[in-house]
Amino acid sequence: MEWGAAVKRTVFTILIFSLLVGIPLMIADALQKNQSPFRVPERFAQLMVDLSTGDRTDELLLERNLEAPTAVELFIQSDSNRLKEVKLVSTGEILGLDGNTLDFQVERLTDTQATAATVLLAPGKYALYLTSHKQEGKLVIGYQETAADTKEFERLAKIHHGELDNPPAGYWEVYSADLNGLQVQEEIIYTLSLGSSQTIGISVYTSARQGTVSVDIVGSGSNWLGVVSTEHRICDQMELTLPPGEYQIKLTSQDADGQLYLYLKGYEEVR
Amino acid sequence: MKRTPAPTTSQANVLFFLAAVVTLASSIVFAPRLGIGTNLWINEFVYILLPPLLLATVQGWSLEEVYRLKDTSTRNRLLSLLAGVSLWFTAFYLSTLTRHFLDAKLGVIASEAPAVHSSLYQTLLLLLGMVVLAPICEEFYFRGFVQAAYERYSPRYGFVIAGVLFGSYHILNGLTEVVPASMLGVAMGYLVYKTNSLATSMLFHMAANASSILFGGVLGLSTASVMPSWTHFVALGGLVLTLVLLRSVDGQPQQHQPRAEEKMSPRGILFLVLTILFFLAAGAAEIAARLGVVG
Repeated sequence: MEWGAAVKRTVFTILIFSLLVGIPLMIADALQKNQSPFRVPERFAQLMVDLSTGDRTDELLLERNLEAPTAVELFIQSDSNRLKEVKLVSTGEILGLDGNTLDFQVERLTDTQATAATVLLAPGKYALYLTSHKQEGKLVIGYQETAADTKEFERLAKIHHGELDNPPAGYWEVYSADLNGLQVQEEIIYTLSLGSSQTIGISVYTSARQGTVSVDIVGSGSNWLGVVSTEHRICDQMELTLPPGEYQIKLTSQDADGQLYLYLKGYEEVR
Repeated sequence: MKRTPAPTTSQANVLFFLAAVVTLASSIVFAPRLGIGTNLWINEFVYILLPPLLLATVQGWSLEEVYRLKDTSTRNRLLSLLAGVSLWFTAFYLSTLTRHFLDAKLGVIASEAPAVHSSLYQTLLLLLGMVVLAPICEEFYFRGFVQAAYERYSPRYGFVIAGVLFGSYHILNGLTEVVPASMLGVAMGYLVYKTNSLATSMLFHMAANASSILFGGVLGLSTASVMPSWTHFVALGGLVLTLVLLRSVDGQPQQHQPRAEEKMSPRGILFLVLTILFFLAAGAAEIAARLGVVG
């Protein structure tokens, strides 16, 4: 740029150059903005809420009737930064949870980020409620209902009512404990040593309803924290494909009651 | 349209009022939808640059002679850049001081700003807009067009009036910006008045805006709640250095002096009053928001 040259030519050259740079940026921004930030899998039915229409307090979004035990999968995303609360309320039991309510606190979750959960509901009705302030943006909820196998539901219902010794087929018990009076902090209750990549099935059940209970799986750069707790007492048939290495299953129990059982599938212990 | 040899205060005041109103209205509509970067570009190109350019074309004004779109010496360019950086520190100090005062006396604005579309592209547009576009377009408008009009009305103080109008326009960015922007506006006006070249104020403006980007974030964090004592010295030092630099610029004789405007026309007065009322309303709205009267 020659500052000795006419200023007028220089200024208009800069302005034109700026337009040549700026207009493509605006176009690129508009194209990116028009792409939906939501990635709800196609198998889900979708419910979209425009959050800009007003404040909401426990507004009913969805009510469904379940004739039989059902696994309800939820997939929740939002392109709004502010906090929203989505509440699932069931007239029947929610296996593994105390009470009939499950809360989701949702902030901005788009593209590959989402809040997802699968809950096993007894026959009855379930509903989704939304509490949010008026804000720009949308909330999208994907939901899918799958009829649960009756025998499986009965097995899990027993576990839910405290009969923890009901593992799924192919699982074997590796640990059990009475949590009453047990005060431990991240105590290793089982170690997996994998010489090669394996798919391991893990089921953990607890009947604790008070105190602090947490089962964590830690190792080789991967962590699964809070697999079960007093709020979510059933972790059933969680399948993990683990690379070679050592994995520790740790238990934290403080002032808890009830029992805890740990089952595995697909892991061959070296004896 | 009656042809004039150069801008009149009436033309300046009408366009100034329209620019202020349209900028505010347009920003309310476009900023949340298109982003603050795109909104800035629309404001600068369409509402700031285009009107004086079109008027010059219609009136047959020479941009070099009437708007002083001329070159200047290398020394003046360098002094302008340095003055822009040094006076920015003083402006930042005043802005922060004003913010602390208003927060303490009137309260913080409680309502959340509406969500604005943001992205990497918007950030790039904003940066380019602040450092390149705004200095060029706003200097065209305020020092090229408005100052030329007011210097016909008051050769001695025209640049001061134009500088204050520039500062008052920044009430659209908040009450805290009025005094600092006026100070910067008067300094830029002086540069153009002395050197007869819009290039000096453009460079000054670029340097000040670049300083805002480079130093504003860091300084903003360190002065968020209280003003450390070193900021007083930096602000005073910046002001003194700027005065020295401005006094050091090489003056250029005014080569073309269109007939002076002896008094402001009734239409000019009307639109000046309307603009003042509009800005007072904007200021009152912010005060009300701070007091929690409105959400």
